[in-house]
Amino acid sequence: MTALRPRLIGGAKLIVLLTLLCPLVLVFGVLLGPTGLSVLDGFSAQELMIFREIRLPRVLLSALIGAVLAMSGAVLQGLFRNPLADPSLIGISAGASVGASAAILFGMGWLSLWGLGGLSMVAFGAFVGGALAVMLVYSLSTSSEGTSVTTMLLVGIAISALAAASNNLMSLMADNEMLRRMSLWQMGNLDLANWSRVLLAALMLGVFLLLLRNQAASLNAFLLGESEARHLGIAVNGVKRRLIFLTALGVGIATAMAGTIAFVGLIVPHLVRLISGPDHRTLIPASGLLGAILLVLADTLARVVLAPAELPVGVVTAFLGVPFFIYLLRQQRVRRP
Amino acid sequence: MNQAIKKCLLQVQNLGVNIGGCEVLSGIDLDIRVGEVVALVGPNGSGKTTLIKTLAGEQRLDQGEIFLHEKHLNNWPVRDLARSLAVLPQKSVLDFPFTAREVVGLARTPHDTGRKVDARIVSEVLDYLDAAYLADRLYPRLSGGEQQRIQLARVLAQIWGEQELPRLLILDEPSSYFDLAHQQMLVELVARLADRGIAVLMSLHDINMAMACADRIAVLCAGRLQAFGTAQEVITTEMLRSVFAVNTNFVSEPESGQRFMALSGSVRHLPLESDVE
Repeated sequence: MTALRPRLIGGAKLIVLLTLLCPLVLVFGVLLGPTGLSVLDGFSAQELMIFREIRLPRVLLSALIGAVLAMSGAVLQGLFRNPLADPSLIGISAGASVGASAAILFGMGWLSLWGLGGLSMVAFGAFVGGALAVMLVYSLSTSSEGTSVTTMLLVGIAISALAAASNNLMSLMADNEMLRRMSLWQMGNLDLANWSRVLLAALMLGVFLLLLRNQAASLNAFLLGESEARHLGIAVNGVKRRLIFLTALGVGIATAMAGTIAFVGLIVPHLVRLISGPDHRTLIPASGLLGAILLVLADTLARVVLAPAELPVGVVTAFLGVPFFIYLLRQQRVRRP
Repeated sequence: MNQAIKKCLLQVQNLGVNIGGCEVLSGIDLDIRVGEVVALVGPNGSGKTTLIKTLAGEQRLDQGEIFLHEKHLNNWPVRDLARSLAVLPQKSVLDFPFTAREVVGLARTPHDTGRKVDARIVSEVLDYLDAAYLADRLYPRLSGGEQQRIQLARVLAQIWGEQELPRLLILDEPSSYFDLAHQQMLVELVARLADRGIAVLMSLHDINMAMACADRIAVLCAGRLQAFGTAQEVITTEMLRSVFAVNTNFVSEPESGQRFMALSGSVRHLPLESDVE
């Protein structure tokens, strides 16, 4: 039957559906937590405080990070022409985390880390680290024959190992306060959410979307292969540079704001492709929306499952993502023995 | 005289390519006229794919010039070039679950003819290649020959439709996965394309197919153009012996009079087991 119906629903319909679903999930995420917020009775002063200063920024930050991670994943998979490319698996998140650690370590002296300036600097460090990692993985694993999954994953392992070593080295040089900060978001955590983070994430998401505009057609052509895209009139090198910049930016934002949250960039675009196909004109917006929904749900789960203690959200996404990744690997092997 | 030059679509002058310090192609002079079918033949490693990549603008040339429609290839705006020149590579890998129709539709990227026209062109081309029944299947699930037909449909859709610009189709071994019926389809297809004024350059392994469908045949050997002319002039027993190292006879098909080559033995002798010892 799959032969006759390759798509569950069309891309446009999926986007409408997700757009309707997204606000509902946001409300759900705000209301659910260790302290119940009762809408019907009206908020007490304390509840209002929890709502305004804790829940709302956290849920909004989750949504922004989820959206940017899922869209970065979709772009990365297009760039590598491989549906298995995920920022955390191929070492880009690791590169970004080294960049961010370095920014914390060396920038601590002259900038307060909690202000907008300090955050932007950490974000910039994460962006530079992520960009170096994407360029390295891309140049090593991709040729005119396409991307070698094995090389891509192996380079990812190498970069992650190097990143772990660098992070360890830097934590030796750091004092207690820096150490706490570095280790907190290496786990992938959203509990540092505040309005300045939300604002910065929203701003950077805006830049990300602006750069992503009109790239869908190029990405579609790119899936055919680099030379095929060139023959279709795409300025391949320019597009490639832009895509590398975009993924580094997206992963950098997410890493700086919330640490390493793995697998969102893998699961979400894959689900969207299963439902409505790989056309980037719908894949990217739908992935953004579904990524927001998924991360808000994952973070809500992380907050309530062990209440009053909290799980880092990176743990939840990893528990969801690893079995999914193994399933995808098996699928690839079945298709190409 | 002037007329003859005008009709020239692709002109290659003294082309040379070095890869890694090695001379892969040298001294190639070639021309393809509007609506002409040129087949490129030669043994393995003779430089067919390199020549095709160079003409497609993918491989840098170290010597010589290429003109498309009297304009230097480097001076063509990328989008205009993509509307005039479509290239089918030997092998394409596509791992994403596009339907066959969507893959063909990607060919319309350089055009802004609008969704309606594009959809009509895609359907026409799929019909043309006997692939309409594959349209809604997922591309990664198709067989090798089916995928090759869809890729062929894609490059056709890229230069389909009425337009001012001249059109050239470059195919690198388009029939390698085709069954007999589709090989025959390809022969008839290029003839029909030529009638529409589309020029075709294709590399082929099958000499008989080259004789059946090409107006002129170019023979490459060790990076040089050994011969370039009609099948009658070029495909001879002597050429096949010196270039391909095979002994051959020619037979004629009684109805059409079409000439065919039949192998009658190899010039090189494979070592016997006793020799290997």
